[in-house]
Amino acid sequence: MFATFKIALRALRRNVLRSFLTMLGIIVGISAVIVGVSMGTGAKAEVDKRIASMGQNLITVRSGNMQRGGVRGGFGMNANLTMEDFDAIRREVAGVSGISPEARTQAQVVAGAQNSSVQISGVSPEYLAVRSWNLKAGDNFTDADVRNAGKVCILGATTAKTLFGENVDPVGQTIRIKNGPFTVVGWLEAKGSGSFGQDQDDIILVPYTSVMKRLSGDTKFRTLYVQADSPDSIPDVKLQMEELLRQRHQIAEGKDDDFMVTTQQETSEFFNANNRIMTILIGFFAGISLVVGGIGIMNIMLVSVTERTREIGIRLAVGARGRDVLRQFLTEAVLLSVVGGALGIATGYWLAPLLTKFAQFPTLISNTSVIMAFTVSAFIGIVFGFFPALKAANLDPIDALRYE
Amino acid sequence: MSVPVIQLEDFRKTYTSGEVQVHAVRGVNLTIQPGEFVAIMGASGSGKSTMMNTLGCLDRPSSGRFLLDGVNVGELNRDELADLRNRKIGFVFQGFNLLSRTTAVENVELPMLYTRPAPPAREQRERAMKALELVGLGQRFDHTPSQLSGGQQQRVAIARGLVNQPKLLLADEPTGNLDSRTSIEIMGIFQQLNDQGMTVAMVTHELDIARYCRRVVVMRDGLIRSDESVQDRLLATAELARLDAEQKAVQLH
Repeated sequence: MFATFKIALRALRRNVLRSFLTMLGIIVGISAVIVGVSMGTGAKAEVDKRIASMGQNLITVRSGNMQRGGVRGGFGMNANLTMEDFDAIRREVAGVSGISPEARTQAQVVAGAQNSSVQISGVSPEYLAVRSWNLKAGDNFTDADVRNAGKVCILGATTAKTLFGENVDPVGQTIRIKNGPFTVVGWLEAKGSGSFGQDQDDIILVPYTSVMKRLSGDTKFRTLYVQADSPDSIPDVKLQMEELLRQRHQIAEGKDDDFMVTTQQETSEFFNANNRIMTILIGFFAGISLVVGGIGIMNIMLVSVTERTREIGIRLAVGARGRDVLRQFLTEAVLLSVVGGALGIATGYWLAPLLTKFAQFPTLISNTSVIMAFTVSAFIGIVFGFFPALKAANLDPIDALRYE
Repeated sequence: MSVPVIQLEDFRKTYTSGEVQVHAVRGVNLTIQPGEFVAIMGASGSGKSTMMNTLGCLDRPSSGRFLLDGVNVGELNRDELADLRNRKIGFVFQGFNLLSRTTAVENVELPMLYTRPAPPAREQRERAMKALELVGLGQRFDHTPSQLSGGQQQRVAIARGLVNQPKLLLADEPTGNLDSRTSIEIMGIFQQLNDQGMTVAMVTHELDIARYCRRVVVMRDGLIRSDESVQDRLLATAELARLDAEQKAVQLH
């Protein structure tokens, strides 16, 4: 086996340029596979990271539905989740470790000479835990603040920067929201952009009662954020909430819900569906280039068999069996494709970070794709090397020796 | 009596070329005993190449029997023929047929790569070196064919033929590509090997070359026309000495 390998290596080294050009097809194909799959994996990892940053074991309840009676409405088109719904879920659904409503409004905010239009989210104190927010400074507001519709707020990183400047601790300052003074009690750590690419840090959190009573006048919520106590209990919590809300909203059997419960996994699947299509497309084209590379190997191996007919004749004359010759040429083809595959993997490792650097596209090379690419390249060598090798093995020794 | 190396009984070979049947060999009986040194002569088309291919187990008879060292070649399949060539026959060709860009010693090792089971690498190297020394090329073992003269290349080929200690050394016009002096040297090697007991059969069309053998078989039209032992046999050592003396006389050296 080692002798066969040595002979194959020598045969390939005899014509370095040709061997390299032959491998080029495989190199391009394999590196395309590696980069393509790394783009898919990278995009998915990015989406997963963003979704995870929205909160752990998060289940979102939105009012309205995608479709009702043929009329298409968006999520949360009209607020119909009541304070009672919120309390009922908190009381009756098992497996919930945190829950917060969200009452949103857009408002003009003024701090000193700075003013800005910011999204105000009215939430409960549990919101920080449910949505995985960490405080950089200050404290959360309390249940008492909720009961009193307290004039307290927590600033997101971007909002704090806009209103008070970079790296200035806003805790203890007073800002005016719709002309009402609010005391800043907390400062959030930055989270970066969300799954839609929006800035999650341009936000002000206040007690939901404060939004409803002082700012928007709303009496119902559009969104409830619920945290399940473990990943395993997510489906059960979702089911319980759906049943509870159908009952409370008096939705008859067979009628559509007027709310929508979404788990993180569903959100992730929604976003990753596109990534999957992209990955499949890239994989398809990379696969075609691999086949073309394989045909290149077959072509060169056929030329090589013809060129070395006399050598084959000599080997057969001194006692090589057909399968010895077959193994020799097959080893050469596999060596070509495997070395090409290894170079392709190396090229992929080199290209993927460049893509991230210059095109800002997230990439992640997975071990699975590397192992797969390597296996595929060996497989290509066997498949496309077999026919030329068989041709060599079946040569008649007398004709082969006489070949000029 | 010992088993004949070659035993042909009513050997016939017919090729089909298009619609025409070509009877290359039309019934030959030939026995070669161990230790013989036989030249097979004939013009082109006489059937001697077909004889050669058959004796070399590269081809099987169309009819008749061919026993090589007691083995009926006609019953063997492709792989068994390959094994038989590997163990029992050493080939020497007109065009040397060495692997280019491969050193002399590696060329000599080639048959052992295909011996089942293959001897260990160290034994292969030792045997190859011994065979090269036997043909007087021990010093040039690491030269590639392009660095060797025709005569030296043919010596490498002979060493390759010997390395598996075959029953028969089979040479096809071994001096065809060599000048007269080198031809005599090569014949000297064959004579030396034959003296040590090796059975040698060679195809040639040169009468003076055939005179170095012990027995000459002449073929024409696919049949053996004469089969006689050589009367006035030439000895390579004597011929070389004579050549040297002649050249000295005209002050070539």
